[in-house]
Amino acid sequence: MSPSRRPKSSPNVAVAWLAAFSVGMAVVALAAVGPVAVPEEPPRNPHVADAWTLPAGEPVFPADEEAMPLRRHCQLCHSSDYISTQPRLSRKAWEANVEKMRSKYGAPIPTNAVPAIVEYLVKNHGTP
Amino acid sequence: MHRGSRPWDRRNFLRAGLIGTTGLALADSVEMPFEFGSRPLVKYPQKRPLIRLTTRPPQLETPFEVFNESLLTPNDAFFVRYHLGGSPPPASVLDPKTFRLAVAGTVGKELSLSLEELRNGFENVEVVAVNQCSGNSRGYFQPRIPGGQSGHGAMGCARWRGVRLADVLKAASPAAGSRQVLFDGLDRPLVPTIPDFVKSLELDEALDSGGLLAWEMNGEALPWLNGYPLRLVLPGHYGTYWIKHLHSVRLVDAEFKGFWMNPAYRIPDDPCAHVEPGMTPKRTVPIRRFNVRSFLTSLSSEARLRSGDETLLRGIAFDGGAGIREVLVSTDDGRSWSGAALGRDLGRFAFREWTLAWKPSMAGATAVKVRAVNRLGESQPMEPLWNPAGYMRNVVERTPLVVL
Ligand code: HEC
Repeated sequence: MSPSRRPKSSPNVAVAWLAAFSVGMAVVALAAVGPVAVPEEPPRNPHVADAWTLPAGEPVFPADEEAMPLRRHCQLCHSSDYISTQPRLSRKAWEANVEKMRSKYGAPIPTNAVPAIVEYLVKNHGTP
Repeated sequence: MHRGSRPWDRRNFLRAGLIGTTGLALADSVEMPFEFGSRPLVKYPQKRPLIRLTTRPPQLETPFEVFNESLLTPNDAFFVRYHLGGSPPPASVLDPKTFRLAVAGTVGKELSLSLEELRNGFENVEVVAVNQCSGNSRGYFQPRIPGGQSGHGAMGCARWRGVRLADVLKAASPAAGSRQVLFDGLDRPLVPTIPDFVKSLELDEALDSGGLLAWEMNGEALPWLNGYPLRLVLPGHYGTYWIKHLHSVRLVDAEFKGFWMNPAYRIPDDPCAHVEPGMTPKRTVPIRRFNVRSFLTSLSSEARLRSGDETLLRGIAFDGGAGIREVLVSTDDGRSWSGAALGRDLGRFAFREWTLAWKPSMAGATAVKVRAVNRLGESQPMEPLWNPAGYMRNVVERTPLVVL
């Protein structure tokens, strides 16, 4: 952005720059602070009039057998990217995570479904 | 990076990009500098394409370049963070004609206020304040921590307009013995077993906080995804308190024990809110105010500069409300430091701009580091501090550069 290269002590350049860049900027504020790298005020939002509809669709776990328990149990309350963006975690941490979903958030996951879910998480997002 | 090496990474994100976006943003994505950091750029209502962390509920992050576009963060780029599946509430629930804010509980006078009544019944005030997610920058923690894997874009600074929380509380005449104030928004859990997102403040704190019930952001109505038609603005405090679509303020005479106050959103009870990596703190307290942070915004990582050319380094600094006193900048990876010029003071809760002219003289790799000090003398650690939830990251940031 050109303002950053404006020589500090040249009033002519400063005036020219101001003229070129004054859209929406307070001249008084500029004079008070010397070189300003970017304007204070943001532009008006060009998207205010958008319709209030969320983009359709969401990422889902693959349709293979291995991921089936997660398709069934882990996409109810949130999309799969809550899980796919997580870092590698230890088996213990993944077990704790699934347990948190069940005990704190009431995820209706039968106990016998837990091992396959943890296996999948460890295999795909486990620490080595 | 293990980009695309796992079944859910490439296939699903591609799909998210294809289904979830329209027009220009189609198939655009960014790679955050940590593992599993692929994120689609997706256009949401009243927003430009933003970095999508999660789809349902939506969590959108501001691309970092935006912090060098203007000091106040544009509404269409301001970050979005929801917790509950029923978010955001649909427009039908947010109709400004039928919307009411209830002030109830241990009060002498219950209130049910329309937006008109709020606007006309109390003094209208403005504050420029940073909102920052507790987990901003969580993706950078080492060892890594589960939770929202944000880069640095879960923050923003805006001019908020509304009425003082304190004025509205006083109008309801809090009964003697009132201890806390609870805040609830119109977003709802998808299933009843998920605790509703309710936050509490001590009554004294709520009266002194400088908090606003705000309907306007940067001179425009709050965007849908930032809390339309009314939200709590709690300057200096982490975003978890800034309840969106706020419709209920409730006073209670006991300590509130809701899930999102305990066990969620707690930090180790020590001055730096940290423990040794992997350890569990003995005592925790609710997260409250921002610590000191600062960023270089005019150059991105690995930017190339020409030796002998002067460049104006520019960035932002902020803290929890003491105000920034000083910003120190190192252009030689921390060996020597110079004081930067501070920009106009928009108030102690705002982003403070800093600038420093720099003429690199030696070719080679270097790094810029930035460290701010607030008016209490608090600053930022040179080495990152760790806590189990990945909150309050404020290490001195380092931007590697190449001088040609
Ligand atoms: C009953 C609803 C529900 C189900 C079912 C559910 N979760 Fe969650 N999950 C939640 C809620 C609520 C959150 C917190 C959302 C927030 O704070 O944004 C969450 C968050 C997460 C997170 C982010 C880290 C964290 O602890 O907040 C991960 C990872 C996660 N869930 C994994 C899973 C997995 C794996 C499954 C399947 C075994 C699952 N979830 C099923 C409700 C659920």
